[in-house]
Amino acid sequence: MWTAENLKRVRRAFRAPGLRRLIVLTVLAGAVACLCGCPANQTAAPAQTPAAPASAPSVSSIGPSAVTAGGSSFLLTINGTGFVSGAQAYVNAVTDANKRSTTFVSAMQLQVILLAADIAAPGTVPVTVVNPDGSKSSFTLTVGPPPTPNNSLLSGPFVLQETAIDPATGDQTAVAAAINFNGAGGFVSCTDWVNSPTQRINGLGCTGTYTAFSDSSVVLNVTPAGQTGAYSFSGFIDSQSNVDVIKSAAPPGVGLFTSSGKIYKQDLTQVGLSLQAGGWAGMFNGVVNGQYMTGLMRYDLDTLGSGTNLAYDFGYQNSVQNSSAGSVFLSATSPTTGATGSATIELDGPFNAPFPDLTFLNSGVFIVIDAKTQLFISTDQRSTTQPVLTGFLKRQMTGLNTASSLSGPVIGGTYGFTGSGSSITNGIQIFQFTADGAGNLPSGTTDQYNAGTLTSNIQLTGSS
Amino acid sequence: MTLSFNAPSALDPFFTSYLYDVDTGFIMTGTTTHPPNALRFGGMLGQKGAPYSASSFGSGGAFVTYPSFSPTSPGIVGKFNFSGGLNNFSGTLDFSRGGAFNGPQAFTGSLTSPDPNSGRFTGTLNFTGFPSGAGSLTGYMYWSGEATFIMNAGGNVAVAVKYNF
Repeated sequence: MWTAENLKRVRRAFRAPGLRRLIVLTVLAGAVACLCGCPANQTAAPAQTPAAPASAPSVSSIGPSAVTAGGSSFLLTINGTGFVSGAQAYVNAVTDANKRSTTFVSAMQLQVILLAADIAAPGTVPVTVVNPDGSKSSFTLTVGPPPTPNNSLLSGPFVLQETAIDPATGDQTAVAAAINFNGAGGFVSCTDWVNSPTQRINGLGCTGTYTAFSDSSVVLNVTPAGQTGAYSFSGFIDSQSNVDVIKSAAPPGVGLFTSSGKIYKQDLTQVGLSLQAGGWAGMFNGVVNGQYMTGLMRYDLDTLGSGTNLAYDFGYQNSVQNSSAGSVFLSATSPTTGATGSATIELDGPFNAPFPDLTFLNSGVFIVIDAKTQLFISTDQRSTTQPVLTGFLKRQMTGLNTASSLSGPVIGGTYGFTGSGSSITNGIQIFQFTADGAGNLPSGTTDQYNAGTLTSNIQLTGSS
Repeated sequence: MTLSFNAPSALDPFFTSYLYDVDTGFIMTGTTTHPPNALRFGGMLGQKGAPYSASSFGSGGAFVTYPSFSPTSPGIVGKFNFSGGLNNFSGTLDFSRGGAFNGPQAFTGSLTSPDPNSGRFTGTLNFTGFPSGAGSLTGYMYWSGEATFIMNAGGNVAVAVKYNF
């Protein structure tokens, strides 16, 4: 009960210096704890400057509520009241040098782009919002320590696949390797390394290190045997323990190319099943004389690992050639040890016009990902001007030669390019349709991007 | 197998496909009797997991572009975080383009809930470092937590992306 005597006791107690400091610190700690410790999906109540006039800006929350040191530039959303068009955010002192790009969304929200340099080190970052009339409000952003690497995210056998385009020549290069990660930032083994065409297939191993952070971002550094320098890949781990990567650094003289690739979780228990006799389907692609090419093939594999071509369709210079002319033949040695085998592919002309008389005798390797999937890469060892072919081989299930093989909802996409040199434009199409199992595709939609224009939700019907 | 569609404005209405499983195979544009306007390759997959909803996206995951065959078309890897909801998600991406690497770069955006049957969804993107600043994406779910989509950053920058949430 708040009697007069009790109130006097409280006043006397508060005048004690130690307790007053404790109360002040407790209030501040509460504000800081909320900034530091609110769940990621909630906004925090920042510490504010006192006694702002009624028309002054007032900050009630920010998002994200906290960030980690060493992160990239990011968008900070500031919620509150009293924001005016032209409001400006500053980091640290209110000076022109400390202005940050600020977008006025409404009287209750601003968006500010903070720089990577602003959050380079752990601590707190003062941020001040100033309205055009000079009224202002400040808060602090908590910058936590960088994440601790969690290298156990990558442990065991994986297969690296990456393709890249040389910006100077337009030539395609490709990399394939089987890497066994030790779960502690290094390689147990690297059974192969293929990098073409600048280094060609060398069949040698590689060494390397990697760092897998707690947010599943990855940096992989690879030094191939017989080469000078190292490659670096940046990526993210997906929900299937595969890693999406692009090349972020390359050895001197090799160059940093436009790149994309993937590191697949490998199932070595299936290697013994990986060359079962029967039908296989494949897709390969590359660049020939500056022209993009792609192809489909189907072949039968015998128990000795030799394949006989059954059919192929080969697209080049916006034309399609089928197996009525020329031939494709593949032979492969069984991967008796490890998961890597070698292959020979011949694409022998003459082909029907307008195709050039291409004759490739490509040596390559294939690396088993699982019993049904193999990564394939090859180059013509006789010439550095011949294309690098890369692709995937998939074991075919039997009985796919009936209309019922296409009998339900399907999604898909195609992507490629037309033209050459600086006039190249890319075309992308994604689609969804439903097949009725009788050769009809009665309903579907497609979205397409071509030469800078996105066309959406086009209704589809068709047949197969 | 050949496929033909009747969409008048389609980039290419004719496709050649080799199946390796039911509803699943490799495809390329054109046939020997219908040459492609633009030579492209890709795949198709049996679509599972319908009906789709906002929860089909899960909490987030990684994505990567399909291989590029143009120095001007970027290669991108990235990661979505949907803990803030589809209307206010965040992400990080790295990209290589024309001999330059940039990353990591933060982005934000919003997504529509996918169509329950077709799995189609659209979205907007706000890039803080990627070219052009604003972009869009359009895609189709093919399994809970998995999708393929086009990421369009304007300025003739568009990429095909496969995503495992």
